[in-house]
Amino acid sequence: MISYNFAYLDEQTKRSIRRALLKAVAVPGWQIPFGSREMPLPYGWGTGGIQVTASVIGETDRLKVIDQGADDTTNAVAIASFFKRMTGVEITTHTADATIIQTRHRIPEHPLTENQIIVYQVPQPEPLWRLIPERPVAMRAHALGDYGTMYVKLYEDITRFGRVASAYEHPVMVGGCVLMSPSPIPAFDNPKMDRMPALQLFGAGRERRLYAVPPYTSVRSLDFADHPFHPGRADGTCSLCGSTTSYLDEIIMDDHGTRRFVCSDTDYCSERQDAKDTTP
Amino acid sequence: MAFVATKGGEGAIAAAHAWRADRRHGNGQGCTLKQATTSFGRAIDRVMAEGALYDPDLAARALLQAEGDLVEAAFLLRSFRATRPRLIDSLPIETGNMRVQRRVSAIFKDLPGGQRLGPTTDYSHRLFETEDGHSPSEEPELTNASGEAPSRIPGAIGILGEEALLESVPAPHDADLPPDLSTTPLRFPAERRVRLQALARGDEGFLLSLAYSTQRGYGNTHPFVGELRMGEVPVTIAPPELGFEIDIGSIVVTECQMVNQFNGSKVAPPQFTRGYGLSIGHSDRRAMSMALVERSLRAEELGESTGSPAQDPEFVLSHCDSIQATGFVEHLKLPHYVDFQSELEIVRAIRAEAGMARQENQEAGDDLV
Amino acid sequence: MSLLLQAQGLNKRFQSVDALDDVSLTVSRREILAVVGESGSGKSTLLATLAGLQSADSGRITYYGADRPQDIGDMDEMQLRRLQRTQWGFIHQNARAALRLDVSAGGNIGERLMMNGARDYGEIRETAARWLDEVEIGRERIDEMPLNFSGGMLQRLQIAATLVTSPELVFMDEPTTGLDVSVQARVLDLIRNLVHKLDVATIIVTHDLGVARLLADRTVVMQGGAIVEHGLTDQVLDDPQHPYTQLLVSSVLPS
Repeated sequence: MISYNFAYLDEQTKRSIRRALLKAVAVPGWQIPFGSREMPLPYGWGTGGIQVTASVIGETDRLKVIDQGADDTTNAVAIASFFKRMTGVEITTHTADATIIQTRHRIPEHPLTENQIIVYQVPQPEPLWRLIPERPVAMRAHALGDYGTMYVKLYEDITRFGRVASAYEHPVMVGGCVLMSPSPIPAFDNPKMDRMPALQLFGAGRERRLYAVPPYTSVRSLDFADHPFHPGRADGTCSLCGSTTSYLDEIIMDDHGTRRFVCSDTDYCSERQDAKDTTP
Repeated sequence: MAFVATKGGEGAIAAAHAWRADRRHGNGQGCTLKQATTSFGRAIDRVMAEGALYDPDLAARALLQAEGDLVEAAFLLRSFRATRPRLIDSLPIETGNMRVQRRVSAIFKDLPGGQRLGPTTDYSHRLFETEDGHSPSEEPELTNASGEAPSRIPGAIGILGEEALLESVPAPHDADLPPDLSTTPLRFPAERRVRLQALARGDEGFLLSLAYSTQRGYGNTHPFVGELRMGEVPVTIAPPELGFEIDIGSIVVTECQMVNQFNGSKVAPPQFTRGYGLSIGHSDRRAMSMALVERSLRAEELGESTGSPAQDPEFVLSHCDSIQATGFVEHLKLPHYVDFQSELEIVRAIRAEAGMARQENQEAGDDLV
Repeated sequence: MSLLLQAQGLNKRFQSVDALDDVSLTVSRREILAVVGESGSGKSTLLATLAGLQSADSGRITYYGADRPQDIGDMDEMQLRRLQRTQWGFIHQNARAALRLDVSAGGNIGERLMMNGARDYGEIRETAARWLDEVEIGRERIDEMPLNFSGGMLQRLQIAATLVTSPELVFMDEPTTGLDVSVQARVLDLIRNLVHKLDVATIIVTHDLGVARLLADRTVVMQGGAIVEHGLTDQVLDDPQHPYTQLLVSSVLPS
């Protein structure tokens, strides 16, 4: 019978990933190449995030895994069950209880603390990829701080659409000097990254890059002075908990296009529903 | 001896075939046709798609004969098809009438008809199964996913169309039948229905890599999977002498409707555009790759900048056929010694001339640096 | 006139050919210098070397910028890049390759401003509009993609996109070659007016002596990677001393 090490990867691999993470923390936002391994889930499913989590998780950690903000989406369940099997750590859905939160496409509504690590799954670590597909050229642009092209894209958006058209994966400037992809989170979540008390780690398995934002680091969304960054959310109310401030999913109810909104963060929503139930 | 055999080596060819046959039978331990049919469904699907013929039994036979070489098997299937008479064109299949086994939409959390995973490895852990055929994870007993028979489900992205957020499907030219790529050569510019045909039977690896390149910045299309569905669809014919329609059976297909972000400008409103993929059999990879490439080939039509490989119809369509490609690449191992001989003569002649010129220069005092 | 750029003893060999053979020259502030010669004379290599786009095998280039003289060879890539995008400009022969054809005319002009830290959309747009008027494309075309611009318009757009930050020194590589003759005259006229108006020093490489005569204060003549003659443009073109210059001048129709 084949047996696996704690958290799947061997200790040597985990150490090499942790060394890359230390470099990443030392240069906030900078993409660090690392020896990404083949994981038992396909590329694009979060192999980078899984490797980062595997290399930092310990026996006493409590892990929360979300995809699109929800603990019960198929991919989140598959990843959580993988770690359950490979580490035996406690899996929690409560944001406040978790020590490590692995996420795809959202940041929880509940503010994170210094005692937590949030691990983002990143499909494309290079924020300039749409403008400069050649990676060595893009790397040069980072090294020289040549971000004119990125602003050209924002300029074009405003010119064509009257507003910045990136609704998700809106690029951010970290520590005032490094351009970084926040991963495909909605623009709504971008402000949560700024001076976040928790350590933010980003893993891109297929592209073999890691990066990090240390606690309390400045993270600014790119914008123009006269067209400030505007994080959007659907103008609606959660039909389950009544939240008017959380990020909402749109759910189609029937063939006639009837729809309603619910919180994308399932833990936040159920906590609010529980609170409503208990307070008379 | 082996070298001589390239010339008139009838005996050598027969021996090569005998060796292959022996290898395939594996001392009587080889796979039977029935085993191949039941165990290698996905390989059979790919062979049918690239062989452009829906016949699982024949595809399984081809797979065995080709020792599992998928391109070779597709080739067998296609050459067989060339020998069959064409009796009638079926009516277009209607994927709305699909008996759905699998149906997912990545753009809605939930929607009418629900998300149905069907038979998929998407969320499995890629760990080896133990001897009894089960993976170390607790594998649940087979249940019919939602407890009901596979059923007809409305399309997921029609909802966007009602809000005019999605471009409408171009009206089909029902007056004329689409040109059939299996009997007419590819010409450029190729209209969309020709492009779709070429992609539908294109090499899966080629389509996949091209699709991937668009995701890494070489012709990005901002894709979302509007809907991916797989199941059986009835095939219907309407013989003119009868004047009514007859179902002659059903085939399994996978259909992918990609929804692609923002097109439009100050004059045209932002809208989602479509990329379409359809594959014989069950292959998410194939249908999705096709949808990405199909959309990317529309770059010029939609006024987007072009220049990436996946946006060049001539490049993509001319090179996507695995059977054409393998034939031409591999033909290089045929004898070419007549051509090579003439090249040899030329290279020798040029070298001799250059040598003579050098000698003259040296004699003249080498004033050229 | 004060010294702006000085090259001393530049040498560069490609395989066994001298691309630059002990080349020295100077450019002063607000001066227009033409480098003329046939194709293969080394003039484009010289321009690329002066602009820091490629390096010489030996020799030094000194830039007398605002604060202190700087040796180009001693600069790291970051310093050089900063210089290139702020105080220098480069106008390529092929505007189509130098511009972004899928970005609006305004965006093309704005890029250099944004590269240098401009972060006010309205101001960037107004500056771009002013420049489109300046180069006679017209502000009403600010949102058009240059994809369908004519060759002359593309070159004028490149000029606007380069001069928008008022550089001190602009390198031009055959800026009118490949354009129709009538279009050439208009672009040359525009260049002449703008460089005088902005007081920008210019090094212009051309095979066309007419361009040198029209624009340049001084002219250097290159042959086989070496400068064979230099002086005031009128002097060089009206009274050429070197046999090669005499040949060049005699082979053009008098302007």
